[in-house]
Amino acid sequence: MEAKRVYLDSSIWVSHILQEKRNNRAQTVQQLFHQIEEDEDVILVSHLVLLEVLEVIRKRITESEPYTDLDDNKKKEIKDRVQKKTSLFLKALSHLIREHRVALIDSQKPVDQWFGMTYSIFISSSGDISTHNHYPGGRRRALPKYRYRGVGHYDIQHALTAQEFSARDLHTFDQGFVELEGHQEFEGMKFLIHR
Amino acid sequence: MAVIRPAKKWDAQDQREQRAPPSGIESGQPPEETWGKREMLIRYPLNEIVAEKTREWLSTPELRPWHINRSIENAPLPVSVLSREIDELRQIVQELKESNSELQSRVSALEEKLAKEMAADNLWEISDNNLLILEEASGIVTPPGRKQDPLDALKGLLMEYSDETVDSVELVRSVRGK
Repeated sequence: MEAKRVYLDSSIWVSHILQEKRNNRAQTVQQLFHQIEEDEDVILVSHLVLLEVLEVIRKRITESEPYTDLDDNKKKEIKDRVQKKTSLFLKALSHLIREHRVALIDSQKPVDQWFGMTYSIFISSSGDISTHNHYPGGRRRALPKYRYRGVGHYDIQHALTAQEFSARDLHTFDQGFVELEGHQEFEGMKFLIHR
Repeated sequence: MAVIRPAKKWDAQDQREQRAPPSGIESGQPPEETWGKREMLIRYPLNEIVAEKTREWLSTPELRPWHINRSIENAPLPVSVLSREIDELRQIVQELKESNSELQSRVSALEEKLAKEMAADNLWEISDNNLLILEEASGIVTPPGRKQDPLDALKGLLMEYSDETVDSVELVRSVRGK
Protein backbone atom coordinates (compact mmCIF):
# COMPACT_ATOMS: atom_id res chain seq x y z
CA MET A 1 0.00 0.00 0.00
CA GLU A 2 1.30 3.46 -0.90
CA ALA A 3 2.27 5.69 2.03
CA LYS A 4 -0.18 8.42 2.97
CA ARG A 5 1.05 11.95 2.38
CA VAL A 6 0.46 14.69 4.92
CA TYR A 7 1.21 18.37 4.42
CA LEU A 8 2.27 20.26 7.54
CA ASP A 9 1.68 23.99 7.49
CA SER A 10 4.39 26.34 8.80
CA SER A 11 2.52 26.85 12.10
CA ILE A 12 3.06 23.14 12.94
CA TRP A 13 6.86 23.44 12.48
CA VAL A 14 7.03 26.76 14.34
CA SER A 15 5.08 25.27 17.22
CA HIS A 16 7.48 22.30 17.31
CA ILE A 17 10.69 24.33 17.35
CA LEU A 18 9.33 26.77 19.94
CA GLN A 19 7.61 24.06 22.00
CA GLU A 20 4.54 26.26 22.10
CA LYS A 21 2.54 26.07 25.30
CA ARG A 22 -0.68 27.69 24.02
CA ASN A 23 -3.49 25.08 23.89
CA ASN A 24 -0.84 22.39 24.42
CA ARG A 25 0.07 22.75 20.78
CA ALA A 26 3.58 21.33 21.20
CA GLN A 27 2.03 18.12 22.52
CA THR A 28 -0.43 18.04 19.65
CA VAL A 29 2.48 18.23 17.22
CA GLN A 30 4.38 15.52 19.09
CA GLN A 31 1.39 13.20 18.89
CA LEU A 32 1.01 14.01 15.22
CA PHE A 33 4.65 13.09 14.54
CA HIS A 34 4.23 9.82 16.47
CA GLN A 35 1.18 8.94 14.42
CA ILE A 36 2.96 9.75 11.18
CA GLU A 37 5.92 7.56 12.17
CA GLU A 38 3.68 4.73 13.22
CA ASP A 39 1.69 4.80 9.99
CA GLU A 40 4.87 5.33 7.95
CA ASP A 41 3.32 8.33 6.29
CA VAL A 42 5.33 10.83 4.29
CA ILE A 43 5.51 14.45 5.42
CA LEU A 44 5.32 17.04 2.66
CA VAL A 45 7.27 20.25 3.14
CA SER A 46 7.03 22.92 0.45
CA HIS A 47 9.62 25.57 -0.29
CA LEU A 48 6.99 28.05 0.88
CA VAL A 49 6.83 26.38 4.32
CA LEU A 50 10.61 26.21 4.53
CA LEU A 51 11.04 29.92 3.77
CA GLU A 52 8.29 30.93 6.17
CA VAL A 53 9.84 28.94 9.02
CA LEU A 54 13.31 30.39 8.30
CA GLU A 55 11.82 33.88 8.33
CA VAL A 56 10.08 33.24 11.66
CA ILE A 57 13.43 32.05 13.09
CA ARG A 58 15.10 35.30 11.98
CA LYS A 59 12.38 37.54 13.34
CA ARG A 60 11.87 35.66 16.58
CA ILE A 61 15.57 35.63 17.50
CA THR A 62 16.02 39.30 16.61
CA GLU A 63 12.89 40.53 18.37
CA SER A 64 13.49 38.43 21.51
CA GLU A 65 16.91 39.95 22.08
CA PRO A 66 16.85 42.27 25.15
CA TYR A 67 17.69 45.80 24.08
CA THR A 68 20.95 47.29 25.32
CA ASP A 69 22.39 49.28 22.49
CA LEU A 70 22.73 48.82 18.75
CA ASP A 71 26.06 48.85 16.98
CA ASP A 72 27.84 46.66 14.44
CA ASN A 73 28.94 44.18 17.11
CA LYS A 74 25.41 43.75 18.35
CA LYS A 75 24.12 43.24 14.81
CA LYS A 76 26.80 40.64 14.14
CA GLU A 77 26.03 38.86 17.41
CA ILE A 78 22.33 38.57 16.51
CA LYS A 79 23.05 37.56 12.92
CA ASP A 80 25.42 34.81 14.11
CA ARG A 81 22.72 33.42 16.37
CA VAL A 82 20.25 33.43 13.51
CA GLN A 83 22.79 31.71 11.27
CA LYS A 84 23.49 29.02 13.82
CA LYS A 85 19.84 28.16 14.37
CA THR A 86 19.11 28.31 10.64
CA SER A 87 21.92 25.83 9.96
CA LEU A 88 20.67 23.46 12.65
CA PHE A 89 17.17 23.63 11.24
CA LEU A 90 18.32 23.00 7.67
CA LYS A 91 20.62 20.14 8.68
CA ALA A 92 17.85 18.32 10.54
CA LEU A 93 15.42 18.90 7.68
CA SER A 94 17.99 17.70 5.11
CA HIS A 95 18.42 14.45 7.06
CA LEU A 96 14.67 13.93 7.03
CA ILE A 97 14.55 14.54 3.29
CA ARG A 98 17.51 12.24 2.63
CA GLU A 99 15.85 9.50 4.69
CA HIS A 100 12.66 9.98 2.63
CA ARG A 101 10.60 10.72 5.72
CA VAL A 102 10.05 14.21 4.42
CA ALA A 103 9.58 15.22 0.78
CA LEU A 104 10.65 18.72 -0.20
CA ILE A 105 8.22 19.83 -2.87
CA ASP A 106 7.30 22.75 -5.06
CA SER A 107 4.56 23.17 -7.62
CA GLN A 108 5.36 21.78 -11.06
CA LYS A 109 2.72 23.94 -12.71
CA PRO A 110 3.59 26.88 -14.95
CA VAL A 111 3.58 30.17 -13.03
CA ASP A 112 0.68 31.66 -15.01
CA GLN A 113 -1.50 28.63 -14.33
CA TRP A 114 -0.46 28.66 -10.68
CA PHE A 115 -1.46 32.28 -10.16
CA GLY A 116 -4.61 31.80 -12.22
CA MET A 117 -5.76 29.07 -9.83
CA THR A 118 -4.76 31.09 -6.76
CA TYR A 119 -6.66 34.10 -8.07
CA SER A 120 -9.84 32.21 -8.90
CA ILE A 121 -9.98 30.70 -5.39
CA PHE A 122 -9.14 34.04 -3.77
CA ILE A 123 -11.91 35.99 -5.47
CA SER A 124 -14.48 33.33 -4.69
CA SER A 125 -13.80 33.72 -0.96
CA SER A 126 -15.04 36.83 0.87
CA GLY A 127 -13.75 36.30 4.44
CA ASP A 128 -15.33 37.82 7.55
CA ILE A 129 -15.39 41.20 9.29
CA SER A 130 -15.36 41.39 13.08
CA THR A 131 -14.55 43.92 15.80
CA HIS A 132 -11.17 44.05 17.42
CA ASN A 133 -11.00 45.50 20.95
CA HIS A 134 -7.36 45.11 21.92
CA TYR A 135 -3.97 46.43 20.90
CA PRO A 136 -1.39 43.76 19.95
CA GLY A 137 0.07 43.95 23.48
CA GLY A 138 -3.29 43.07 25.02
CA ARG A 139 -4.28 46.60 26.22
CA ARG A 140 -7.94 47.48 25.61
CA ARG A 141 -8.71 49.98 22.85
CA ALA A 142 -10.80 53.08 23.58
CA LEU A 143 -12.72 52.47 20.38
CA PRO A 144 -12.93 49.02 18.80
CA LYS A 145 -11.68 48.55 15.26
CA TYR A 146 -13.04 46.48 12.43
CA ARG A 147 -10.93 43.54 11.51
CA TYR A 148 -10.93 41.55 8.28
CA ARG A 149 -10.17 37.86 8.59
CA GLY A 150 -10.17 35.59 5.61
CA VAL A 151 -8.15 33.25 3.56
CA GLY A 152 -4.87 34.74 2.33
CA HIS A 153 -3.16 34.02 -0.95
CA TYR A 154 -0.39 32.17 0.90
CA ASP A 155 -2.94 29.85 2.51
CA ILE A 156 -4.34 29.08 -0.94
CA GLN A 157 -0.88 28.34 -2.31
CA HIS A 158 -0.09 25.97 0.57
CA ALA A 159 -3.33 24.11 -0.06
CA LEU A 160 -2.75 24.02 -3.82
CA THR A 161 0.74 22.56 -3.36
CA ALA A 162 -0.58 19.94 -0.96
CA GLN A 163 -3.34 19.04 -3.39
CA GLU A 164 -0.96 18.84 -6.35
CA PHE A 165 1.14 16.25 -4.50
CA SER A 166 -1.92 14.24 -3.49
CA ALA A 167 -1.74 15.04 0.23
CA ARG A 168 -4.59 13.35 2.04
CA ASP A 169 -4.41 15.71 5.04
CA LEU A 170 -3.28 19.28 5.62
CA HIS A 171 -2.46 19.99 9.27
CA THR A 172 -2.41 23.54 10.65
CA PHE A 173 -3.20 25.68 13.66
CA ASP A 174 -4.33 28.55 11.46
CA GLN A 175 -8.12 28.92 11.46
CA GLY A 176 -7.86 30.88 8.20
CA PHE A 177 -7.81 27.56 6.37
CA VAL A 178 -11.42 26.90 7.43
CA GLU A 179 -12.60 28.78 4.36
CA LEU A 180 -10.84 26.38 2.03
CA GLU A 181 -12.60 23.35 3.48
CA GLY A 182 -15.23 22.13 1.09
CA HIS A 183 -13.89 24.14 -1.81
CA GLN A 184 -14.25 21.99 -4.93
CA GLU A 185 -10.60 22.53 -5.86
CA PHE A 186 -9.55 20.64 -2.73
CA GLU A 187 -11.91 17.75 -3.02
CA GLY A 188 -10.50 14.62 -1.41
CA MET A 189 -8.10 16.49 0.89
CA LYS A 190 -8.87 16.90 4.59
CA PHE A 191 -8.06 20.16 6.39
CA LEU A 192 -7.17 19.26 9.96
CA ILE A 193 -7.24 22.57 11.79
CA HIS A 194 -6.03 22.08 15.33
CA ARG A 195 -6.78 24.56 18.14
CA MET B 1 8.55 44.36 -66.21
CA ALA B 2 7.28 42.81 -69.53
CA VAL B 3 4.86 44.93 -71.48
CA ILE B 4 2.42 42.95 -73.58
CA ARG B 5 1.58 44.77 -76.70
CA PRO B 6 -1.88 44.39 -78.20
CA ALA B 7 -0.47 42.44 -81.14
CA LYS B 8 0.76 39.70 -78.86
CA LYS B 9 -2.75 39.18 -77.50
CA TRP B 10 -4.14 38.83 -80.95
CA ASP B 11 -1.37 36.33 -81.79
CA ALA B 12 -2.31 34.15 -78.88
CA GLN B 13 -5.96 34.28 -79.88
CA ASP B 14 -5.04 33.30 -83.43
CA GLN B 15 -3.02 30.32 -82.25
CA ARG B 16 -5.88 29.05 -80.11
CA GLU B 17 -8.34 29.32 -82.96
CA GLN B 18 -5.81 27.93 -85.46
CA ARG B 19 -5.79 31.01 -87.58
CA ALA B 20 -2.83 31.70 -89.74
CA PRO B 21 -0.69 34.64 -88.81
CA PRO B 22 -1.31 37.64 -90.98
CA SER B 23 1.29 38.43 -93.55
CA GLY B 24 3.97 40.77 -92.38
CA ILE B 25 4.17 39.49 -88.78
CA GLU B 26 7.01 37.13 -89.49
CA SER B 27 8.61 39.22 -92.23
CA GLY B 28 10.38 41.52 -89.84
CA GLN B 29 8.08 44.50 -90.27
CA PRO B 30 7.82 46.90 -87.32
CA PRO B 31 5.00 46.07 -84.82
CA GLU B 32 3.20 49.41 -85.28
CA GLU B 33 2.70 48.69 -88.93
CA THR B 34 1.51 45.11 -88.26
CA TRP B 35 -1.05 46.27 -85.64
CA GLY B 36 -2.65 48.69 -88.03
CA LYS B 37 -3.00 46.07 -90.74
CA ARG B 38 -4.35 43.41 -88.34
CA GLU B 39 -7.11 45.71 -87.09
CA MET B 40 -8.37 45.97 -90.56
CA LEU B 41 -7.89 42.33 -91.53
CA ILE B 42 -9.57 40.59 -88.53
CA ARG B 43 -13.25 41.00 -88.01
CA TYR B 44 -13.51 40.21 -84.39
CA PRO B 45 -16.99 39.39 -83.00
CA LEU B 46 -16.37 41.33 -79.80
CA ASN B 47 -20.02 41.78 -78.85
CA GLU B 48 -20.68 38.07 -79.14
CA ILE B 49 -17.72 37.18 -76.93
CA VAL B 50 -18.67 39.71 -74.29
CA ALA B 51 -22.23 38.40 -74.25
CA GLU B 52 -21.02 34.80 -73.96
CA LYS B 53 -18.59 35.59 -71.14
CA THR B 54 -21.30 37.49 -69.25
CA ARG B 55 -23.68 34.51 -69.59
CA GLU B 56 -20.95 32.17 -68.30
CA TRP B 57 -20.19 34.41 -65.35
CA LEU B 58 -23.86 34.79 -64.42
CA SER B 59 -24.37 31.03 -64.51
CA THR B 60 -21.41 30.33 -62.21
CA PRO B 61 -22.77 29.06 -58.83
CA GLU B 62 -22.32 31.62 -56.05
CA LEU B 63 -20.46 30.70 -52.86
CA ARG B 64 -22.14 31.52 -49.57
CA PRO B 65 -21.86 33.36 -47.25
CA TRP B 66 -20.19 35.94 -49.48
CA HIS B 67 -23.31 36.70 -51.41
CA ILE B 68 -22.83 38.94 -54.44
CA ASN B 69 -25.82 40.17 -56.31
CA ARG B 70 -24.82 39.85 -59.91
CA SER B 71 -28.10 40.80 -61.52
CA ILE B 72 -27.98 43.76 -63.80
CA GLU B 73 -30.88 45.41 -62.06
CA ASN B 74 -28.97 45.10 -58.75
CA ALA B 75 -32.27 44.63 -56.94
CA PRO B 76 -31.86 44.69 -53.10
CA LEU B 77 -32.66 41.49 -51.18
CA PRO B 78 -35.71 41.61 -48.97
CA VAL B 79 -34.95 42.59 -45.35
CA SER B 80 -36.52 39.38 -44.11
CA VAL B 81 -34.01 37.28 -46.10
CA LEU B 82 -31.07 39.24 -44.73
CA SER B 83 -32.38 39.02 -41.17
CA ARG B 84 -32.88 35.30 -41.49
CA GLU B 85 -29.37 34.83 -42.82
CA ILE B 86 -27.91 36.94 -39.99
CA ASP B 87 -29.88 34.91 -37.43
CA GLU B 88 -28.63 31.66 -38.92
CA LEU B 89 -25.03 32.86 -38.83
CA ARG B 90 -25.41 34.09 -35.26
CA GLN B 91 -26.75 30.70 -34.26
CA ILE B 92 -23.74 29.00 -35.86
CA VAL B 93 -21.33 31.38 -34.06
CA GLN B 94 -23.05 30.70 -30.74
CA GLU B 95 -22.82 26.94 -31.23
CA LEU B 96 -19.14 27.21 -32.10
CA LYS B 97 -18.50 29.32 -28.99
CA GLU B 98 -20.23 26.78 -26.78
CA SER B 99 -18.40 23.80 -28.20
CA ASN B 100 -15.10 25.72 -28.02
CA SER B 101 -15.60 26.55 -24.37
CA GLU B 102 -16.58 22.96 -23.59
CA LEU B 103 -13.44 21.67 -25.29
CA GLN B 104 -11.29 24.24 -23.48
CA SER B 105 -12.55 23.10 -20.08
CA ARG B 106 -11.95 19.47 -20.98
CA VAL B 107 -8.38 20.28 -22.03
CA SER B 108 -7.76 22.23 -18.79
CA ALA B 109 -9.15 19.42 -16.64
CA LEU B 110 -6.97 16.85 -18.40
CA GLU B 111 -3.87 19.08 -18.15
CA GLU B 112 -4.46 19.50 -14.44
CA LYS B 113 -4.94 15.78 -13.94
CA LEU B 114 -1.75 15.03 -15.87
CA ALA B 115 0.27 17.57 -13.82
CA LYS B 116 -1.06 16.06 -10.59
CA GLU B 117 -0.28 12.51 -11.67
CA MET B 118 3.23 13.49 -12.73
CA ALA B 119 3.89 15.38 -9.50
CA ALA B 120 2.58 12.44 -7.46
CA ASP B 121 4.56 9.85 -9.40
CA ASN B 122 7.83 11.75 -9.30
CA LEU B 123 7.66 12.72 -5.63
CA TRP B 124 11.10 11.46 -4.62
CA GLU B 125 12.76 12.57 -7.81
CA ILE B 126 11.43 16.10 -7.26
CA SER B 127 12.31 16.01 -3.57
CA ASP B 128 15.88 14.74 -4.10
CA ASN B 129 16.43 17.38 -6.74
CA ASN B 130 15.10 20.09 -4.42
CA LEU B 131 17.43 18.87 -1.67
CA LEU B 132 20.41 19.31 -3.99
CA ILE B 133 19.27 22.85 -4.81
CA LEU B 134 18.77 23.60 -1.11
CA GLU B 135 22.21 22.28 -0.15
CA GLU B 136 23.83 24.22 -2.95
CA ALA B 137 22.03 27.45 -2.05
CA SER B 138 22.58 27.20 1.70
CA GLY B 139 26.05 25.65 1.63
CA ILE B 140 24.86 23.02 4.11
CA VAL B 141 26.00 19.46 3.54
CA THR B 142 24.36 16.56 5.29
CA PRO B 143 26.77 13.66 5.74
CA PRO B 144 25.19 10.20 5.89
CA GLY B 145 24.50 8.91 9.38
CA ARG B 146 23.32 10.91 12.39
CA LYS B 147 23.60 11.06 16.17
CA GLN B 148 20.02 12.04 16.88
CA ASP B 149 16.60 11.65 15.27
CA PRO B 150 16.14 14.81 13.14
CA LEU B 151 12.60 15.38 14.43
CA ASP B 152 13.98 15.34 17.98
CA ALA B 153 16.75 17.71 16.91
CA LEU B 154 14.11 20.17 15.75
CA LYS B 155 12.07 19.85 18.92
CA GLY B 156 12.61 22.99 20.99
CA LEU B 157 15.29 24.30 18.63
CA LEU B 158 14.23 27.86 19.58
CA MET B 159 13.25 27.01 23.13
CA GLU B 160 15.28 29.90 24.56
CA TYR B 161 13.24 32.30 22.40
CA SER B 162 9.89 30.94 23.52
CA ASP B 163 7.60 31.97 26.36
CA GLU B 164 4.03 31.53 27.60
CA THR B 165 2.60 34.04 25.14
CA VAL B 166 4.14 32.68 21.97
CA ASP B 167 1.56 32.02 19.24
CA SER B 168 2.76 30.05 16.23
CA VAL B 169 -0.19 31.22 14.12
CA GLU B 170 0.55 34.91 14.75
CA LEU B 171 4.25 34.40 14.10
CA VAL B 172 3.52 32.76 10.76
CA ARG B 173 0.94 35.42 9.92
CA SER B 174 3.53 38.11 10.59
CA VAL B 175 5.76 36.69 7.85
CA ARG B 176 2.78 36.16 5.53
CA GLY B 177 2.10 39.88 5.71
CA LYS B 178 -1.28 39.45 7.41
